[in-house]
Amino acid sequence: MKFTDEEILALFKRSDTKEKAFCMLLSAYQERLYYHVRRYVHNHEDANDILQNTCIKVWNAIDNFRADCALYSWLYRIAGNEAITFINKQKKRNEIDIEQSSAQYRSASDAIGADAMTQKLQRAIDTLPDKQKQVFIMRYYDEMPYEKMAEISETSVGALKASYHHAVKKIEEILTA
Amino acid sequence: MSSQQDILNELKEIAPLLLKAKENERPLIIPANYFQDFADSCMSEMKISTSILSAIKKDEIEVPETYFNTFSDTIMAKIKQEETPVSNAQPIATKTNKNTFVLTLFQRVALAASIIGAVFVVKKINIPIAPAQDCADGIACLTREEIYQYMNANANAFDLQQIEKAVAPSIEQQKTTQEIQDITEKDIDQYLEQNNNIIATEDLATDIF
Repeated sequence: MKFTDEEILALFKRSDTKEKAFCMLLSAYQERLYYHVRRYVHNHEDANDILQNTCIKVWNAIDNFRADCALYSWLYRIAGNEAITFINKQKKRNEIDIEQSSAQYRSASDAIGADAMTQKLQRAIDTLPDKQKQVFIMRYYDEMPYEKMAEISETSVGALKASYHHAVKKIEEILTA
Repeated sequence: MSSQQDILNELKEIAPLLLKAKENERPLIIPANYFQDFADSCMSEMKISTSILSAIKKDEIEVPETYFNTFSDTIMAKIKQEETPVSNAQPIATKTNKNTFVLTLFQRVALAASIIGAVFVVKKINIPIAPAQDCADGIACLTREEIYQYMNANANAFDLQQIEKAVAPSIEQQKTTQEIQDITEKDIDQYLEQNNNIIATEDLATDIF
């Protein structure tokens, strides 16, 4: 049986059904959120860490959720921000040993059986600024319409189109170099 | 037209290479039963972190009751305690004969080194320092070779008038030299006799400086 967002949110408000509501929320959205965060990082372990952090944030902040946007948009926003935070933290850590991080990256890419083109594409995405990266992943991988992206990122459709265009051009440049 | 088709068309238009990459993309590998177990693992993770947080809250850091009241006194006492050994310090032990020998040797070496140093410094001061080249007009700083190379490279850049202008002073100088050579010693003596007074005054004037 599938529950609507309103039903899940109503269950969240009661302390005795809060855990159940949480499980329902996860079963409804975990896969989509997982695939979204997996595009930011290149291995399952990191994606799992990000998803867990996202869920903890959701659990702590669900009482403050105001239904001015869809529940999924709110979850998606948290997941995207968590992914960016995770990557930036990792970058800072890896600055100490760049060689080590690139070796980890290579082994991670090998593990998922990525071909040369996919690896190149992943590296190109890594070079994008945070905002462009988010926009590119939403459009290219999650195949999201601009209107939905605008709701999630709280940005205008025009700005998103421009951002996506820039991101695609940059990636293409890297791939053809 | 579906949203997905829109996205593919857009990609085809702006970056066909990326569309190709998208078509050849391989599915991501995820551990079996990951999504089935995720909710449970997430809940247990949250419970652990909640219990850790509550434990930290409960185990508040204990401080002795009078710790902050007596803190300044304790520090002052410590400072005084550290100062005491310096005032009551034992005099330094007398040197042994061996130490005296080493010290004397060191003094001699130090004295010799300072004399050598002094001689070197005096010599250095006496060395006449070559006057710095006056580079105000820029040409003085150039070597002959550099000037020659520049002239060769820019031969076409100078017109005849410019060259005549530049060379004119040296031609005039040559003329003057020729005129001086034509003057006999007799003429010179005569000139000196006639202008004796003026020359004497000029000598005096230069003496001032």
